[in-house]
Amino acid sequence: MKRATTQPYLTPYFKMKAILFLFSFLVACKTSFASIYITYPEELIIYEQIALQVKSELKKEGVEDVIILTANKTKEETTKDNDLTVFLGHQDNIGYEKIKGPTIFSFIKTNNIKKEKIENAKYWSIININQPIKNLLKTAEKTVKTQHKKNILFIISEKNTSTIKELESIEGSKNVKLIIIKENENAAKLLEPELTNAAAIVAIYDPTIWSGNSARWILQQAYTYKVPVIGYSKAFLKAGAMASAYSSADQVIQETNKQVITWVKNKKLNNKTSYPQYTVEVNENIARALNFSRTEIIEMENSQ
Amino acid sequence: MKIKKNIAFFLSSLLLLAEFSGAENDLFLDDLPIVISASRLNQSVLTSPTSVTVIDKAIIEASGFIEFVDLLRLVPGFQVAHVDGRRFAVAYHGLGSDIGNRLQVLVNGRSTFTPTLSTVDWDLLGIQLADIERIEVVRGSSASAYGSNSFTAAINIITKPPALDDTTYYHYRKGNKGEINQLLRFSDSTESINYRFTAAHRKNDGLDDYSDSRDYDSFSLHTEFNKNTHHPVDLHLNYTDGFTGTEISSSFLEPRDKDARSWAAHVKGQKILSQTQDIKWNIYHNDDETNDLSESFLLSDVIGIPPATFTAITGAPDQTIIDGDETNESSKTDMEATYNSITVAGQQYMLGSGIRYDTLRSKSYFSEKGKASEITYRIFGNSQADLSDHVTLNTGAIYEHTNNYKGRLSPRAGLNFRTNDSQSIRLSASRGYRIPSLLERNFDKNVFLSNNFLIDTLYISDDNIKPERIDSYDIAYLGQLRSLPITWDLKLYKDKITDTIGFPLDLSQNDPLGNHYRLISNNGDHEAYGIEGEISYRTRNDVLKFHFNYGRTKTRIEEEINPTELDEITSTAPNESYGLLASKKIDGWQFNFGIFYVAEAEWLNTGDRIEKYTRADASISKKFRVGKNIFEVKIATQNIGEKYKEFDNRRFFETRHYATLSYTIL
Repeated sequence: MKRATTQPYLTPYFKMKAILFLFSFLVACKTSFASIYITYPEELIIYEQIALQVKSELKKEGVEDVIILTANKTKEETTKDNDLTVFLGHQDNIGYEKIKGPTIFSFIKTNNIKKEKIENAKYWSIININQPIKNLLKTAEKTVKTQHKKNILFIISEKNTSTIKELESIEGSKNVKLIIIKENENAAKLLEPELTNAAAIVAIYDPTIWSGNSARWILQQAYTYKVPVIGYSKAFLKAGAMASAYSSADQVIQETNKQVITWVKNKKLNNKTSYPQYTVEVNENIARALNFSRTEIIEMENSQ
Repeated sequence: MKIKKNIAFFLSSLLLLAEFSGAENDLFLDDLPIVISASRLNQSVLTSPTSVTVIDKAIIEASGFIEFVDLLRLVPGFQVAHVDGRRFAVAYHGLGSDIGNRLQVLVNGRSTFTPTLSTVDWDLLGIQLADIERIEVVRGSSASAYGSNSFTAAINIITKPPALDDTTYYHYRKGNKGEINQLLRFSDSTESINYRFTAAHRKNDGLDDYSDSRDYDSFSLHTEFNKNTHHPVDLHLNYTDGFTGTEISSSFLEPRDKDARSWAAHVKGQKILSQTQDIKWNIYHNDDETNDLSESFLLSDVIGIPPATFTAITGAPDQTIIDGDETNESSKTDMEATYNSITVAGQQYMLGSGIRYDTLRSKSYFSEKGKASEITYRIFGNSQADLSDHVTLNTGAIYEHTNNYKGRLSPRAGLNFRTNDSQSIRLSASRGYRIPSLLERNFDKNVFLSNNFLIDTLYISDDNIKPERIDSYDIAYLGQLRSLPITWDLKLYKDKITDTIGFPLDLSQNDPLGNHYRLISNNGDHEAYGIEGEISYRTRNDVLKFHFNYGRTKTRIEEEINPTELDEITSTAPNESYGLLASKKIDGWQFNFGIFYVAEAEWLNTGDRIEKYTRADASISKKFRVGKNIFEVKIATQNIGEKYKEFDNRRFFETRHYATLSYTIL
């Protein structure tokens, strides 16, 4: 019985040559063209969507060679010195030291990146989703309406040493008052005596203070004393803060792409922490209840 | 085919968008529950429909007062008096008596007026002054917001959340007139529960030469369940037990003490639907029991006839009877739910409904039926809307219907004009009804002998008794200074109460002893108008608070009926009253001083016309902190100077001193 042949006939010699050629081509490609790896923690599905959006917007800018990987896959991947890696979100569990090339850490919350992680990198950039203190302070200053309620309170846990140092440098000026919370202390309780003279409470990234019941009682106390809270994220507005100065996901993506394109064009990164554009949003219901007028609300929204 | 693909793409995009928006919060943000939802969006004072005086912890401390009711001396337009050492009279804009039944008193949202006479027993509230975070006194009729009996005013007592309380607190107070108070309190928190337990003992000998001492033990537990941050639940349990001396009103009863016991269970919760919508529910049960039953002397002695004559007239052997003025068991069960919402444009509204079941058992009050009960249904709503950038309209109404009274609507409306960012003018009007209490409607106090011979009739309720009605109007000017911590609230007011309920003597009826009985009926009306206000200066350590009232009242009461004898009383509220409270911290010592002037006024019922008086109080305190421990010592004097009369011309309020030592673990 004659066997039907649907494939072209190839000799073993020709097959081997073809495979060798293909392999050499791939190796050549790999060594001569730099890639951009976007890596994200697989446990947060939102980062996959962000990675896709970053890739799609880079494509519009003509940046094609973008590979999306999960954090665990990134560990297995061997990158070259001139490959750009873009880390999205908090990824403490992966070994940054394996990444030899330039690195962008994006969607980073303050203090998530330890210095030693970036010491070996020649080019790096950190894009922080939280706001620098000066931006929050600028918004908080808009709440000072009377001479006797002018203190702007910052609450921070004692272990947050770098932020404490930063705040101590401005404490006293601009009516800033720092409240340091020790372990097992109740922030809302310690805050109470200060609320009589407070114009605002500014929230800065500190999960010990601004999460769960601790956040709940602080917000509740502040509201009882008619003291507005200025948050650093949209969730604060929902929880009951009067205003929030925050960067949206789109604004962080925009900043990330700006850094990637800078790398593609100049093969350099800024080696510093940068903050994306941000928005000041006011919860009008809270503002009204705290006796802020429409004009004051608009002023606050325009305070960035 | 292409259309199908487009639809599929559109749907998947929507899905992705929805996922992204939802996840964005998770990404950016941390574990933040919704804390300030629609129902917590209290109004700014500049847009509030009624005047509210807030007495917070610092003011309570500064006042040196140790009775709840004394704190109301700090509120414009309020009259407060010690009827004796154990009972208090409180009224707003006059018409006050030893039966203060035109006020709503809420403890964390639980109404505490009893079904007996719609009065409050301030010793049985189930909480202690030391547990209070603040008291909000709503000056004006406000039933749509604070429920039944918020007729002339509402007093809203709010205790400190256990999560914010000190770990341990103990105080011991000792003063003259037998004053002793001990209080021990614990608070603790776990991941999902915060709780506070308070135990207290209070003892006081009362006024000189009267049987009006008090001796109470009290326990309370407040638990907050926070596991579900979108559905916080609070549980309050209160128990008070003790006794007081009594002044027996009937000359034929042997004097004895009154036993009093009260417990309450209260659970309330909130279901946060979103940042702009929530549902609140509130369920409680109050149970009060007082017993001052006493055995009379032999009736033949009381009447002044020989026992044989007594038997000949009545057909019954000479005997004693058992009776008491305040012997009753009452309970109140209430369930309420409210839906609160706020629109994008900032319009707030609240809709609610509730049901209350009141019972009153007493052989002394209802000689024959022994028990009275009533079910009250209510629906209510309030809304606030900005008509423009400077004008806010508040409206509200409650419709109450009982199984004995057809429904009545109590509405209110207020228009606030903000003259600038820190000042406003308010015009408001309200109408309210006070439905007669169970006792007012069912009183049937007769004395029967062992053979059922009716020998004496004391009180009978009129079958046609109607609810009291109040119509109030006010114009207020509120504001604050920007350069100094000074706020003010000035109010011109006019109130008219019609169909007031009283106890006129019915001259057309005689009981077998030849006495007339009192008919519980609508027997008068009352008008009050004037100006009142408060000005406060507050800093972290200093308080300066001045309040005043200049007004006139005209009260017409039928003291007797058939034939009618109308009594016109020109001042059931003082024409002038003012008070000043000052507190200042100097070198760690807190110095407090209060002075209160009350012009001549007449208290109704068992009260008298009382001449003007001035009372001055002073106290000094100091805290010593050692690590997490705080020791505090406080010495206070109430009424520095001459004794004076507050309620009737037989009793004097003399100078009192006390010292308190307290210990706190933070």
